[in-house]
Amino acid sequence: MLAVANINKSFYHNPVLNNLSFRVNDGDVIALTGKNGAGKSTLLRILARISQPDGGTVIYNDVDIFKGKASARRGILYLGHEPGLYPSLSAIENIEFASRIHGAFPVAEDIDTTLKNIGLSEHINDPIKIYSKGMLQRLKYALANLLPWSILFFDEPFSGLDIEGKNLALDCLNTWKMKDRTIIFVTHDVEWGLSYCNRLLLLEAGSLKIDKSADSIDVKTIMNGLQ
Amino acid sequence: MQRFFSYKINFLFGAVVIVAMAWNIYNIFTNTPMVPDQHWAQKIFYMHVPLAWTGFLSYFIVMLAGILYLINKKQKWDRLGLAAAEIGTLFIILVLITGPIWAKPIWGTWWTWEPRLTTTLILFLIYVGYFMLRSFGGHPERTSRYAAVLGIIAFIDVPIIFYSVRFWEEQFQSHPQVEIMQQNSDIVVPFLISLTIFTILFLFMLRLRMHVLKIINPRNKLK
Amino acid sequence: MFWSLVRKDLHLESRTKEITISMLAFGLTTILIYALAFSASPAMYRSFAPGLFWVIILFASALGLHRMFVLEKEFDAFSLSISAPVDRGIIFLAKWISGTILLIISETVIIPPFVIFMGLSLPNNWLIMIMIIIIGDLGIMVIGSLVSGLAMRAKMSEILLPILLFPLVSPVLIGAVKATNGWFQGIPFMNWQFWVLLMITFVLVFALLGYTIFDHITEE
Repeated sequence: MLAVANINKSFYHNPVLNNLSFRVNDGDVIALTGKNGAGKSTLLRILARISQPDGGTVIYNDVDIFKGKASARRGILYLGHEPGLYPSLSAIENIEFASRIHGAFPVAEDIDTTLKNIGLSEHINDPIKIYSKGMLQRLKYALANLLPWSILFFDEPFSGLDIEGKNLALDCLNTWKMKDRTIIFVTHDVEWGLSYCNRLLLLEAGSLKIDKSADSIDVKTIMNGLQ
Repeated sequence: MQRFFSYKINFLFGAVVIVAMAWNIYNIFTNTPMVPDQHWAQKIFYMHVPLAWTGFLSYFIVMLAGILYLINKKQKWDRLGLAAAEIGTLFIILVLITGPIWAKPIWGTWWTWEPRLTTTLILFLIYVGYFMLRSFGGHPERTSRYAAVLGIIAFIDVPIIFYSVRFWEEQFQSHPQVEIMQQNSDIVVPFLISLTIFTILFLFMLRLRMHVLKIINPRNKLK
Repeated sequence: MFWSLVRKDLHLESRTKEITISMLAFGLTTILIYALAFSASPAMYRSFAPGLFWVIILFASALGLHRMFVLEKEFDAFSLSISAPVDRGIIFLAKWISGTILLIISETVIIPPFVIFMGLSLPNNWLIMIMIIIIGDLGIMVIGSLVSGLAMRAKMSEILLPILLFPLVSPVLIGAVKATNGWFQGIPFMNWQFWVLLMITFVLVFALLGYTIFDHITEE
């Protein structure tokens, strides 16, 4: 589904990603780990075409995402570290806009139900700038459940969530896993990564030090790698 | 990396340019006819106009380099764009200085909103913005891209700016010497020679500046 | 897609009202400043009015444009539009049109005080002036949207934006002032139609260029 080849990215002449290559097949659930500043979020933003690499290609369904038409990127959903939504609009308005530009037209009841399921039934008509970090994180799960996607890029799935939020998140994640969805997570929670995902990528000094299936790795190796 | 002048061809090129320009200046002062009413002030025309033409040529190159950079992201196009922008702006500053020097003795005023000078001034201000964008636009990998886009926008705007300024104020007709090609050959020939020599000077400076940009690029130091 | 984007911008503005309020408050304050600085006779106001009007609109536009793109940067909202399967050229066109609409809305509040404080008596054929204003606004906003895309992620973007915008937009300024002056003095349209055509050319050239090139400036 996704073929990443020779990605290079520098900031102020400091290389952050160095000739990075890997493939993503249908049904892969990948944990992308690494130290702070390793370039994981940068890589995800490149895959979502928010950031431009200095070199290399990203091929999605046989189309180079940097050269092809925008419609060829249908099916990619990016949930970044920041909310990625308009603070002055409400949850419902943000969801409606996001849906329309992804080519979906969810019914009002579906939106209400999803928000309720994720624990956001209050304040759904208030601007989301009043939301806490945890509420904004839950809103991302609502988006992921309402928008159509074939591959999801999710940066820090548990960031800011309290225990209840984390349980709701795990419910969503398990549902996605049962449906064989394709996802790349950026995560610092290596144990969860190894238990939930079927592949783990460790990014260090701009290259992939590890790219293996999750059962073939043990936690200690990774923890050492992260130190 | 070798020094620029260690390459024989650069050394020769530089020598030719210096000699040619020295001769050109000498030629302008000794061999060109004195135009009635203007006398010595008119001699500036032999430098002012070539500076303007090469300045605009330079900005055209910035646009071309920008297009090429956006197509294939090769660093050399970015260096070409930056070098051409710098040299072009230098030449344009000289145009804006020689213009008033020429105008004062003839029209009694330092500045006049005549169409070509005004277009030059506007273009100069656009390029001030260009350099600010290069400095403050973020990391160099991004500013290269943004500067390429601005270079394209700027040069496409030039003809529109010129036409708007030309019909803006009817009383500000063009500079004293408008129809260069209709002058007699005593004037046209030295003018064309000067134009050629200024163009060669420009190309030499471009070559030199591109070389410098290449060797000061931190990325190249890693190699 | 295009209308979703425009509706979103207008919707956002109807919530925050940041753009229109900053444009019209700035516009009104500037009218006052000009009146105080150039305390002149009605006859002088008549001759300065077209130029003064467009300078005010240009400065107000710079403010408005800056706010438009700042709204996209909050919460990284822009990443939503650019990671979606939306043609980047359409994003540019939507910003252009929504910016123009917001500018026109602000002008409906700026124009009456302007006319009153300058003591102007206007010709009867208002529709022509409305046409000039719309074309002028389209011209300012088409370059403005392009240039805001460039300045958006820069340091000192509030300064960089006007510095880039003003010289590039000079044909529109000249054309708009000439056309406004022609209308205001009651000169027949034939005599100043060139300026309207010039502005239309400007708008078409940069709309096309912007649509083609905006893709290169959306990414970080």
